[in-house]
Amino acid sequence: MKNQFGRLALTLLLFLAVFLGSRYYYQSLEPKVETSGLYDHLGGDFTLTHISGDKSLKDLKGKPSVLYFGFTSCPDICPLSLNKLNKVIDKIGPKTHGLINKVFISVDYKRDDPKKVDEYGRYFSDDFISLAGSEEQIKDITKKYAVHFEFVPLKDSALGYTVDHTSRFYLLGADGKIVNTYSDIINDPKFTNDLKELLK
Amino acid sequence: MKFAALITLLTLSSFAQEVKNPWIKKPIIGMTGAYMVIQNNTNKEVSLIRVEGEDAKHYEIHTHTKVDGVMKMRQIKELVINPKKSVELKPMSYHIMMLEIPKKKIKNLSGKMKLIFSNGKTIEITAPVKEL
Ligand SMILES: [Cu+2]
Repeated sequence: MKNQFGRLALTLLLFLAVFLGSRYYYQSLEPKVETSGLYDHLGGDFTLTHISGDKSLKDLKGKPSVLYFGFTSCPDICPLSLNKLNKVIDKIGPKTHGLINKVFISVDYKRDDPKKVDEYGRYFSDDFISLAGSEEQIKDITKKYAVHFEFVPLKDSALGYTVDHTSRFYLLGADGKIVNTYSDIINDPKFTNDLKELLK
Repeated sequence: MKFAALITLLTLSSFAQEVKNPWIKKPIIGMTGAYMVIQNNTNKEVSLIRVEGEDAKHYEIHTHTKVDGVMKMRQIKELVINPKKSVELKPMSYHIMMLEIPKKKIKNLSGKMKLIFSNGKTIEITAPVKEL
C-alpha cells in the first residue's frame, strides 16, 4: 500500500515537472513584448488636427507612440496622467522623450480646438503632440481605439457639461499597431517594461 | 494639567469646522481644482454649501469617480461632513472647481477663498498654489 502511494506521488511529480518545464520552454519562445492578440481588432488609421495641420497615424509611425485621451477642462485626472507619463519616461532615461511620440487627444470636440489643446499639452512639455478633431473625427478614432466618452450636462455648473472619458494609456509600436493599453503606468511596471523592449 | 485640558477643549470647540492643508493645483488654462481637509468638530452633521473667492468667476463643489475605467466628474450641491469626522478633498476625488480664472490672474492667484457651511459658519482660507 505504502509503496503504491509513493509511486503515484512520484509519477504525479514527474508529470508536474514536465508540464512546468514545457511551459517555461514555450514561454521563452514567445516574443518579448506580448501583444496577446487582444488588440488585433483595435486601432488603425485616423486623422486629427494639430496646431500645425493634419496629423494621421502614418505621421506617428517610425517611433513608438503613447496615446492618452482626455479633455482640457479636466481638473486633475488628465494633468495627473500627462505628468505621470513624463515622469515614467524620465525614469527610463531623459533621452527617451525624443525617441517616442507622446500624444494627447482631446475628445471634447465642442470646446477644444487645436490651439487650446496645444497650449494645454505644452504646459507639461514642449514635445507633446496635442490633437483636436471634429465630431466625426473624434467619433471615428474613439470607436477604433475603444475609448468611451460621453458629454454629460452639468445643469447648475458654469462648465455647462463635462466629458466622461476612459482614462487609459495606449502604447503603439513604430508600425502604428497597438502593443498594449494600461490604466496604471506608475505602480504597474508593465508599461515601462514594454516601452523599454520596444526601444531596444 | 486640568487647566490645560480645559483650554484645549475651549480652543477646539471654538472651531466648529477646521480646514487643514489647503492648496490649489497650478492652473494650466482658466480652470483648476482646490483641495483641503475639512474637519467637523461638532456633534452634528454639517455641509459645505458654497465657496466664494476672488481668483475665479465661479467656485463649485465637485466630485470625481472612476467607474469601469471611466472618469466621471459631477457637481454636488453640498459636501456632507459627519459629526467628529473629516473629509479630504484631493485629486481624483472631491474638489472645489475654480472656473473662468481671468488670463492675467492665472499666474498669480491670491488663493483666498471663503467656505460657507450649512450651520451658518464661514471659514476664510488662503490656499497656496502647487504643482500637481
Ligand atoms: Cu471639477
